[in-house]
Amino acid sequence: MRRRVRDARAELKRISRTATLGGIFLSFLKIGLLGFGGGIAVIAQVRALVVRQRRWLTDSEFVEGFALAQSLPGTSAGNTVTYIGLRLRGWRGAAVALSGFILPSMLMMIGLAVLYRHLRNLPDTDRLFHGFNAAVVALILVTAWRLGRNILSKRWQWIMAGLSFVAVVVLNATVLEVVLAAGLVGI
Amino acid sequence: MAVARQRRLHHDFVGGYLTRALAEERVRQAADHEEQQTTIEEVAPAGSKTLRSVGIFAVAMPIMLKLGLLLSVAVLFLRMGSVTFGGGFVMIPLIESEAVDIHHWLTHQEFADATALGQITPGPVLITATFIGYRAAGTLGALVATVGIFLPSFLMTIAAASSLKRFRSNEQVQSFLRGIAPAVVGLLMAAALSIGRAGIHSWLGVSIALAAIFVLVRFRVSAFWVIFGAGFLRLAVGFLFR
Repeated sequence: MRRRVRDARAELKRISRTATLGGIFLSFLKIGLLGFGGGIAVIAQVRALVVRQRRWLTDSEFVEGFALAQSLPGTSAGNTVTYIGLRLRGWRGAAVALSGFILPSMLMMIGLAVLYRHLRNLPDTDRLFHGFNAAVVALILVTAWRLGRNILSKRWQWIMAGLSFVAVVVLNATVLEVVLAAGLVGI
Repeated sequence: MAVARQRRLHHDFVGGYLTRALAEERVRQAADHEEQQTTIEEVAPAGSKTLRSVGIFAVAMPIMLKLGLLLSVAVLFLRMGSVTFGGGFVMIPLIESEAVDIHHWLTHQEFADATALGQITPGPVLITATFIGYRAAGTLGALVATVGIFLPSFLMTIAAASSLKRFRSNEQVQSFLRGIAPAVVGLLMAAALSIGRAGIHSWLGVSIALAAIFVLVRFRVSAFWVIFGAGFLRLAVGFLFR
């Protein structure tokens, strides 16, 4: 009994030593820098870092956070990062974790935006972006298909999906309206 | 707008110096956003007030104009950030109608490009907001947009996590989310349609998209490589058939 308490205390001490605000910031900065590959890959990287490498959270705690992250607005990666920071060091930890995560891509994006201005009208850039856009459409379609495979099983769900598509495309509904209406239908 | 604001100020130290500063700011914004240039009337020449007041005012006015713009950027992205259930792609049709059709910060083509860039950068795809914010109001706009789009989910996550048990067991919340899920699929299809309309100009584009779909489904390639691959493929085709 005494040994268990001692181990638990040592574990907490280890966590508080590694999970300082600066440590959290740098860890998620690294992920934010190298997190290519879209949602799932990034989550896998976060999990590898947080659960296996640093052992800040147990696997079940991580999964709990991830489930929560998916059911809220915003990206699941961002919310998971926020959750982890919150669990480690409260709201300050959450703020620091998310900032570290977002910062590299924000800076990169600003750089790209500046370059874009200058380079967009070259015919080569034009072709490059043409390819990019085609791939993005493909990506969205595949994501929709994968989601649809999981979610759309009953008839009312198919009707919902169809209606929301029509609402946005034909009726120019805003996402807010669609989301609220859909949620109300759910209730 | 600048003219109206000038008329509202009945100060007699508003003079030629200030009018020109305002005009320059307005011309810069007009050139950026391809709007009609409004005529700036000359207000009555400077009175006997100190030159320093004029100087301070001349500096403050462009900042005020910029602040108004930043505010609209912030408000837009805060709204977006609160409703992106189901992942970043969902925001595409919504932001497009706002940023392109209403505020005229980008063209449809540029918006499609911004989405692609958002995919290529590490981190979440919502980072597209940074690009749009930059186009709307410079670096400061980029910062404001980024904070705006991530803040609502940040706060909501903290709130929900702090009362996790109550959140999980709340029947209404759960059924709300269950209702949203199928709608998300429909929204994604709408997103694909708007990007497709804006970004794909030719049958070559269509075939690249189909190839990308095949690669994504059949092999477990990450999104980043697919997009880059498609871009360079298109580039290569361009070189081959010049």
